[in-house]
Amino acid sequence: MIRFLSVVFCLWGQVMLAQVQLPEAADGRLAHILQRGTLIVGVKTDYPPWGMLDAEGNITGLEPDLARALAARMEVKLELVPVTASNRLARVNQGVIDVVIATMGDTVTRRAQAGLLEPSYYSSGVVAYGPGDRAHQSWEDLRGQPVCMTQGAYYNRTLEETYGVAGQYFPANREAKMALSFGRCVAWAFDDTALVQRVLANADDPYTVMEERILVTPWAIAVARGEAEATLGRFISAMIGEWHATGHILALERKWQIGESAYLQGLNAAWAQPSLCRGDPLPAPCLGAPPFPQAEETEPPPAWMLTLRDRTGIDLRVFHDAYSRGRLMRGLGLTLALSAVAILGALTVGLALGMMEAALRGRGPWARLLLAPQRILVTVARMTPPILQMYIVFFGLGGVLAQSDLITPGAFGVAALILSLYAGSTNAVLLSHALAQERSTRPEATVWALVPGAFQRAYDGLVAACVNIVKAAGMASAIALAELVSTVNLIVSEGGDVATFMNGLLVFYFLLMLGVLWLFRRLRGWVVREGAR
Amino acid sequence: MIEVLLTHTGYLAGGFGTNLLISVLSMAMGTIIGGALGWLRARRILGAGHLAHLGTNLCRNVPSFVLLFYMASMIPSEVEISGTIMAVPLWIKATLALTFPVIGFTSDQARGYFEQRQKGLSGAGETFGVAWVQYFLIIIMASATASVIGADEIVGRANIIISQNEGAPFLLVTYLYVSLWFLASGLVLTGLVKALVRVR
Repeated sequence: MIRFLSVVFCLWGQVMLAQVQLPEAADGRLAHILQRGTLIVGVKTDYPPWGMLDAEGNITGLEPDLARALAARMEVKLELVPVTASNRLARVNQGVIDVVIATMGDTVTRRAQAGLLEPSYYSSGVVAYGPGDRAHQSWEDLRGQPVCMTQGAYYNRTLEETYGVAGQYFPANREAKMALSFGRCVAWAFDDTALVQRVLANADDPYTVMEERILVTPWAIAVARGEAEATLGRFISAMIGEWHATGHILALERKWQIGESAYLQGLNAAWAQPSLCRGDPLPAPCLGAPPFPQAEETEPPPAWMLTLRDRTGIDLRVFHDAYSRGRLMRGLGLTLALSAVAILGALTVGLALGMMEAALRGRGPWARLLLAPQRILVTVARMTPPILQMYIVFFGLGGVLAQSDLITPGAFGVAALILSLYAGSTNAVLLSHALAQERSTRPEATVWALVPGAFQRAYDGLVAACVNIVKAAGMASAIALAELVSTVNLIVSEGGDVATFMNGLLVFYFLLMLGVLWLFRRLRGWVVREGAR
Repeated sequence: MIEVLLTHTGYLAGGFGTNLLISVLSMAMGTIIGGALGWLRARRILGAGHLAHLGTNLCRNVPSFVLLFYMASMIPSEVEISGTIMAVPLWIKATLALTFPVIGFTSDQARGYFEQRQKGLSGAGETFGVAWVQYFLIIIMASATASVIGADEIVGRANIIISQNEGAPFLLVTYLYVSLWFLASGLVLTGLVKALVRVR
């Protein structure tokens, strides 16, 4: 790659105006792009002005401009696809997109996951953003405090391990910011580039960023694993060199009113010297800062893990890392706890609402009035998607409660409540029908005496609803509950083996469901015995 | 705030169309395959019945939320058909993910239906029909999760609108408005079931 670059720029040094050209014999992904006639680039849409949506919903910004420059030079059409920090490398390796230009920090870990290209094209560090009246001026102030974070950022682990913050993970910036404004955390830790722009753009908001910028890292454009050395990677690397030499990115900074950054000025000064940026490897001033180092590994994984991977493809090396192992165990614990609470909640809600319906039905206008809220609750809970209900209660109701002196329910509480109500309302419908059928056989019995019989009648439906709710528990990841599905996705986004983890997750859930079904059979046996007494 | 939502109503409706498309297709495919499995199980055909039981167990016990990520990462995103490269849309992956739970459900229901028919019990068709429509409702609700893999459906579109207009009240109103679409479709479906039962 470097040799290719130096040839290009050697020639370019001699014929000052020559531009980087497409290689004549394109291979791999580049050949695929040319055949398709479209370059698909993953960019951010929540990172103004690097990547954002305009009023018409079109993606614009500094990075889409860079993507446009690439497509123009390839003489193909451009398609921009929104990506997030946690899915951008997965998308490029899956082949959904060809190139990632999405404010991505260059790290040693990511270099092992995808084709990260040199030279770097930008740089950022991490700062904390929070209410101005509760200014956290240093990272030491935030030790032990809940801090909102965006999933997939390279510094999250270091902030937890080295700086001791209690990370609350959100899938995107919007949710992280929303959670901060509702008091779910004391600050939001994110790139200084984005947060400084946010403060400048919203001068009326009572938020500031801290002065202390840490963990400064260059940004890299990425292609799929193995493509960095192919013609696509070499061509884009040469283009980045050309952008530095011509000051193209500095001009885009001015266009988007960011202000020229010292990092780009340094790269521009280096590349503007025709004799400097050549050779293999390129001298350090032409590459920018080195990548963010990997978390320290204590010792290599045991031999059996490597043998297992080589023989079967099952890659368990993540389990060797204490940090990832700890996260997986916590995720597993949370999933089991949430499932247990949601099943108990769903049965309780179902029983209470079902008995209420059975006791009050057909008892005149007052009973009908009492039943109305129950009917509305059951209808709304069943007929709105639980993922929407979680957003509404967590961000909406949570926001209202945060402004009062009442206790704000946490993510676990909200998820347990929503899942209990969602499955509980289905259970209520099933149980009230079953109670009505029991009533027709034993008209004089009390509602309570009818419950064991009704439970047996509705058994299959109740089990189905409760099994459903265990399966739906993964949705709680949308409101920052680090249960198993979200932890596995996080680990896969950080380089865990996709096939191992996805198949492992399927097997885990299969066994969990068998366990839940076994427990229900025990419960039915108990109810039958109690009912017979 | 309301005006902004109204101007985006067409856009959201298009997204909801995708939700319905995902739901209808996964119900259709799942019902055909699950029906066949249920028939094999009810007939207790040696070997095939056990195999169908195992298949049903697999489909029933794996969460669609996990299958969504599974399909997103395991199915190729582009296929080449006679020299032309075609993208595999994410809604197709979401449809496949939601087909599995439908297979599990229909297999169980269909087995009950065929067994009741064998015993000569009446009302088997009605029980099957009512349960099927209830499950259709669950699948429509589940289609809202397709946004987590980036499918262009109503919740994904709502998220795009929200990211353009930051602010907690707007987020709440938008999500409530989207909820109304689901609520309305749920009420229509439930009404249909009641009408169906009354006709019989």
